[in-house]
Order: sequence, then structure tokens, then C-alpha cells
Amino acid sequence: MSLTKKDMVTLYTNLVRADHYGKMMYSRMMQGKLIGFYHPAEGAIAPGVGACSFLNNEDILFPHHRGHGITHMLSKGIDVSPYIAEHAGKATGCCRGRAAWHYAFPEHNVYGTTAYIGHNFVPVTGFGWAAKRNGTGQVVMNCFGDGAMGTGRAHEGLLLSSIWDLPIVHLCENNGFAIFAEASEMHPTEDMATVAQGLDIPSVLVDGQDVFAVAEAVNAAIDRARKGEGPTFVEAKTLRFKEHDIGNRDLRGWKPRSQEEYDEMAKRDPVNLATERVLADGVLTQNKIDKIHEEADKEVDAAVLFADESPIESPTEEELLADVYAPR
Amino acid sequence: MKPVGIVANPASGKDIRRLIASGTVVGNREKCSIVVRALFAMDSLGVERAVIMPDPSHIAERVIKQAQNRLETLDVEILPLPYLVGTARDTERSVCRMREMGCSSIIVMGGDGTSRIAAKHSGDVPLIPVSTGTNNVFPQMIEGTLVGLAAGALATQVVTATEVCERAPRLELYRDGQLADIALVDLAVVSSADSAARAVWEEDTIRELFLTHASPTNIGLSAIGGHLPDVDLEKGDCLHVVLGESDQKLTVPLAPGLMKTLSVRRYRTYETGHEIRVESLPAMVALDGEREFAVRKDEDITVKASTHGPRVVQIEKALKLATRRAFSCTGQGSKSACA
Repeated sequence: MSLTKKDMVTLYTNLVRADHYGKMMYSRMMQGKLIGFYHPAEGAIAPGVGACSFLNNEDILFPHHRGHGITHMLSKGIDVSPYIAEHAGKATGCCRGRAAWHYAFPEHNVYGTTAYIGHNFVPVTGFGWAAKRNGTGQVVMNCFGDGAMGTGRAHEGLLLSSIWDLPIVHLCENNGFAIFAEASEMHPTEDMATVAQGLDIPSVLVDGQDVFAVAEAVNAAIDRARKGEGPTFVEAKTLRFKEHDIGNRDLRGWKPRSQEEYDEMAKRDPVNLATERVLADGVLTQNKIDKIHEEADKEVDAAVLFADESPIESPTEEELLADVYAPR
Repeated sequence: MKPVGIVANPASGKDIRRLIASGTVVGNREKCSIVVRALFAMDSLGVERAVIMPDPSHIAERVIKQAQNRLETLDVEILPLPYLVGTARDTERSVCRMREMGCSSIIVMGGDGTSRIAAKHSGDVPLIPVSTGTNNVFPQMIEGTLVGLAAGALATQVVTATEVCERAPRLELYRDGQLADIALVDLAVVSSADSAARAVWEEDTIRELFLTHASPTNIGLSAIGGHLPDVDLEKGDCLHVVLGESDQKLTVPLAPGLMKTLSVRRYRTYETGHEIRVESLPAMVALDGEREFAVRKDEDITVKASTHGPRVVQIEKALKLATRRAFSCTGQGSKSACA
């Protein structure tokens, strides 16, 4: 189904929220208020928003590590303030401040993010199998980047999802980089979708800077999965405006990325592109757009306040060991 | 000798119609192979220079890697563009640059949408549109070798553009009296909220249709005109179809394998130059099957067909004429043998 105006407002609002959260996280990392790493999502938020804004709460989500899944979770309708607290090591965090960005949010069916690129393909296969057996129309959204497509896990996961007809949407957020390495050096084909085609998975390419295009394509994929028609591979070609993670230089191969490249990328800012579109399509007025930005600011401020005012997690040894697989 | 330009759209043949219909997937590997075959054919005719559009998928680099050690006369270059954006803008800039370079022809590989972008900027440079898209009416589904032979015949001046090219018709869209955009095959007025994934596949969103081509052998929007009785479009004519509640039903292929039933309220053929006012506003306008932009209710939107479309090489005509001139005969005594 093509998008309605209401869908477009939802997508635009989530895109603005994701952008505000992303900028806040970058700033907080630079201020030393986050623990662990932060992998900025700026420029690359449209795939997550487009893919997750129409998921149900029962659907399983494995978010992409860029932006640490905030984009994906808020689009799925999850209050992300416990995650902002988590990243500050606070007791109110979704993993009680012990996980930073390698977290899970099981009450919202969000799993993921370990430090291993492409790790997700293994549990995603299991969740897909369970979803198929449950027969309730549950869908698994598997988000990853082009770097993950170089791992054996990805190939095995795709293979199993194909031969078992699992209700999985594989969303490749292809920004053309694995840290510094260009995708063109790391893969024989620039379109990761080609690999999935080889495994007989219906595959589609979409402009990953265009949140509406991503949503329409992913909705078609979700529809297939819910009807029991098996997995789909959606490749969203996107852009990474910032360094891979804060603290590392932003390189293309061995050289810093050029100013010209940043300038050209800025012309394809997903929020600006979407703003032009909602105005041109008569979906939103400038006043309503301003209001959405104001509301996003308030939401982010509230999440930051919640994190700042929450106590630091100080578990006893007994509490700490209660959550590990092999306590002493 | 003038160079031959080559534009291969890396994004064609991969859109949402792979999911909502059963569209063929055309991978970039195949696009590389088509270009390589065209280059070998050109090389055999003594073409000296070809320039290929660069793109983020590196089709040009891969083609050169495959072909360079097997070419004798042909020097293949990548068109220098300052920065690639991975959108239709790359095609626009490349075609403009190829026109400035005085290319003898430009091979355009993609769908109707790619041809449309090229046609907006090609001026008098002949186009050789080759289908690597989904519902293609304007570009031909033709072997790359033959494409190369036709381009080679023009570059080596065995045939001239005047002899083998025809101006294609086009649809011109005017916003408040100003030419705003063009389409080569179809212009649809649809009720979708946005351009989003661009393709048009939901029959109940189509309000009006303007066509330069109408044939039951087509797939896509122009198939609607093709399935109407008593429609015989002359070159440059425009068929205007208004859809909506009606007893007149048509079942047509809107995309590969996607048969849809539509209700046609009325239709009429107009001659070249006749201006037709769009009735169903506000709406989204789709050009050659791709949703492009929104138009408001208070805008004055008109459409007319014209014969000012791009110059297009008639491949069969070019090859027959070139063959009569013995262009493929080589070696001592071959001319007489061919004659």
C-alpha cells in the first residue's frame, strides 16, 4: 500500500525525533556523559525510521548499531528514555545501567546489539523460526550494514531464512563504509541485494535518504512476511555524515574524507529532503513542522533530565552475579 | 572522430516492483556485460573513443577492467564528474557533459525514467535507449552488441544522424503556463500522498492518464491505452484517459505479472499541440511511471503532446543502411566480396 498523509506525518515526526536524539547523543558523548562508545547516526536515520515506524509491538527488532538503535526503537513506539539512562550507567536503564550500548529491551521485543558485526543473523534466524511456528503474523526486522555482509554469519542466516521461508525483513543500511574501508573494496558487488538474490530472496534497492521511499518498500516486505511469503531483503543506500565512532578520525580508506564530500552529502540530509517533500506535497505547514521540532526538543530534554537525575547503578556482588550465565 | 557516450543507470531494474509485482532483476553485472559487448562491437568498427558515466557502483571501472586488454582502436574513459551523488543528478550531469563533448550518440541503459532524464538534457545528440528497467516502452530490449554496432556506425559516419534518427514525441507539463517537466511515454495524475518508492502500481490511485504510446504489447500505464478499443495513436498524438467510477472495465498488466482491473470513465485522442487541462487536483504527478511531484488544487496544470522529444537512433534502420554500405566488410578484397 502506498503511504497516506497520516503515515507521512508519522514518518516525518519520527525522523525529526531521531535527528534530535542523535545530535543530543553526539553532544553528550563529547561532554563525557555517556559510557562506552557512540556511533553517530547523523545522515543515516531514514532507513531505521522508514523500516520501523509501522512495526507492531509484537514484532521482533534487531536494530542497527549506528545511533545505537535509538532511531529504530523510537520509531517502533518505544519510550527510549530508559535507554538514554542505560547509556549513562544509571539504575533506571533498560539493563539497569550495566550494558551501555550492548543492550536488550525484551519487554519491547528489541534484541541485539553485541560488539560482533553480523552477529544478529544467528538469533534473527531463531526468532524467525519461532515467529513462523507461532503463526501470529509476527515479523522480525533485521537491521545491519554493508560491513555485516562480509561475515559468514550473514550468509548462513540469509540462506536459512530463504530455505525455511522465515518472516524476516533483512534491512541492509548500506552507507558504503565498514569503519574506514570502502564497500567497493570489501565486496565484489556494490549492491548487497545481489547476494540475497543469489539465495532466492526477493530483493529491492531503495534510496536510503528518502524516509518515505524506505517505508513504502519495507511495508511491502512486511506485508509479504505477515502473509507467510518468506523473507525479503531491502537495501537502503544511505550516507554517514560523521566518523564511524566518536574518537576515531573520519577516513575514506587511509585519507580523510574531503570537504567536498561532506558538502555534497549535506545536500542529501534526510530531514531536509523530507521537509521539502512534506511542504511540497501539502502534508504539513511550516507551523506544524516547527511544532514537531519543538516537541522533539522537549522529549529529548525530558529524556536527558531523566537520565541525569537517575541514580548510578551500584549493584551488590550478589545482584551483579545474578544476571550472568555462570555465577560462581 | 566524435566519442560515443554511455550512461548505465546502476539503480534501474531493482525497485519496489520486485516486491509488489514480479519484476525482473537486472543486476549491475549484466549491465557491465551489455556495455562490454557494445564496446567490442564499436571497436570492431574502428571507433576511437567512448566515455562512460561514473557511478557509485563503479560500472565504468568494471567495464574497463573487463574490456581494456581486448580493445584495438577504442579508448574507453570514465567521464570526469567532480562528485557522485548516486541519484538521477549523475545522469543529468553526465548527459550534459557528453553533449558538450559533441558525442556522436549516447547509449542510455535504464528504464523509461532514465531515458526521460537523458532526453531532458540531450538536445540534438542522438540517443540509443536500451532497456534494463521494468516496464519499458521507450528503451528497446536489444542485444548490447547490436547497440554497439549502431553507435559505431554513427561514430564512424557510415550513417548519419539525419538518415537514421527520428524525433520521439513527448508530453509537456505546464504549471501556470510554464513548461515544468516532460514525459516520453506516460504522464499519470495519481492520488498518492507522496512520491515515496516512486513506482505506480495501485490502480485505484490513478485519476488521469496522458499517453504518447498505447499498445497491448506494453506493460505499465501505457497498457491502459493499449487495451482501449478503437485507439490508434499517430506519432505526436496524445491519448487522454480519465479513470473513476464507470461500467467500462479494463484488466491490464500494470507491472510484470500484476494484472489490475480499472474503470475508465472516458478517453479521447488529441492531436499534437492540443493543450489539455488536468482535472483531478490536488494530486501527485507521475512521469514515465515514477511519481515525481505534487500539484496543488489552485494550480493551472495543462498537458500537451509535442514532437520535440529526443532524437532517437532507429537501430534496425541504422544497421540495414550501414550493411548496405558494407561497413562490416574488412580485409583485402572484402568490399568486392561484400558487394
